[in-house]
Amino acid sequence: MPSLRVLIVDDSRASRMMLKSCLAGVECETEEAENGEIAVEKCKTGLFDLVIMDVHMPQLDGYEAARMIRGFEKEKNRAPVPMVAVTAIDPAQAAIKTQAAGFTAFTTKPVKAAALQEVLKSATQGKFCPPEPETSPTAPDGKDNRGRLRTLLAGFSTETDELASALKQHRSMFLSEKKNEVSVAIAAMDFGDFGTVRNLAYRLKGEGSNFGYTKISDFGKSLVQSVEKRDIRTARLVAQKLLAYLARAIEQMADQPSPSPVDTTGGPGPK
Amino acid sequence: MPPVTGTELREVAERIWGTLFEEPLQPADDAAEMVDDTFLTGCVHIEGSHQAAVAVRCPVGLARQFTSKMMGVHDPSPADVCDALGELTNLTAGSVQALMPPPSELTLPTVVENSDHHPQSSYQTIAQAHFRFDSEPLTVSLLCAGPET
Repeated sequence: MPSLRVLIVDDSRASRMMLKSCLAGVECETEEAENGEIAVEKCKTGLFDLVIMDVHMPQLDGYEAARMIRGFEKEKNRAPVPMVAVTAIDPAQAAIKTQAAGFTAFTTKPVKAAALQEVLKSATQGKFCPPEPETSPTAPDGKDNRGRLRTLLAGFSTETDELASALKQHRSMFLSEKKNEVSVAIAAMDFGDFGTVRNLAYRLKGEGSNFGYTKISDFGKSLVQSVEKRDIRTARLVAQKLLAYLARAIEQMADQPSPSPVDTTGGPGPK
Repeated sequence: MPPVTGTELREVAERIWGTLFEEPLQPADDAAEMVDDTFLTGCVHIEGSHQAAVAVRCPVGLARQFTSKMMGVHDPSPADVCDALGELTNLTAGSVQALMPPPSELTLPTVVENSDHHPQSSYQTIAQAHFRFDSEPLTVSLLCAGPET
């Protein structure tokens, strides 16, 4: 398969480097741009298979840059390049704004390699192929930062007990937090408070994958869809299924010494 | 009631640092002394339903350590250190923003040296979380304008 050309746009060098490290092991050539203006120019003069762009930048922000790139493509009758927004801002607000600006997809920072790669795969309709796990950049101390985290998150017990325990606690906290949020969402439904339900649904959708729980993101997506349609009956059903899924996940995590975050509960997805 | 509690602020920071670094943040009871050390403060404002700001404060040595890990470089330049601490503050502010009523906008991060960075004199610290990372202190603060917020 030919190498993909990827443009990474972010005003923060640290963020660009972290995004690049998320692509470690992928057959691709990367170029960088430090603001929207440079990104627009690069897209005008070069052909990219994928653009990964922060939205929060000085001079020309990611929203405006995306609009200009889409405008240029239309003018020149070019096929639209898949553009993925990467943002630290509130997912509920980012989802609407990025879609309106012409982005294909968005994901939230801090980005996990696996989550980003899933989004990229979906945005490029499979053209982007995530690598097999194991590959990762090497940190200056010789330790393998992101790869180690990914390996742990994939459920392999090759790391120290201390780190595994910390990550377990971290995931456990996340699951409990989500369980509380779903309970709040159900209560908000009772009061007809769609705004709260919608915000919580967007958060579930965005954060689930970041923690390796793709099923939570799927539930969140279904919840978003039903709330947008004001379909309270389906929304309630999805929320209740999600609550049950989270309860099982928490229970399993308590029982397992080295839990895997990814869909081990085998619960049914939202239908 | 404050828009974001100290516990929420603590959870936000623990989640972000836990995602980015191998070593989790260790909660601490109070602010550590940074008097004998040069320290940096990153700040991002949240403008909208609340006028707020998120500040992340740590010694330069710790900020350099974060930068090395984030960029994969041995000897980061001062600009890189500011960039990395600004990005960490931005990530924290984004997660705090998600806990506050929409709509709101984040400002770009600023990083200052050796200052108790209160973005505006009228701002008050309404939530704070203290940590240790590799035995070094780190404080995350949420500041808001006005008596109610």
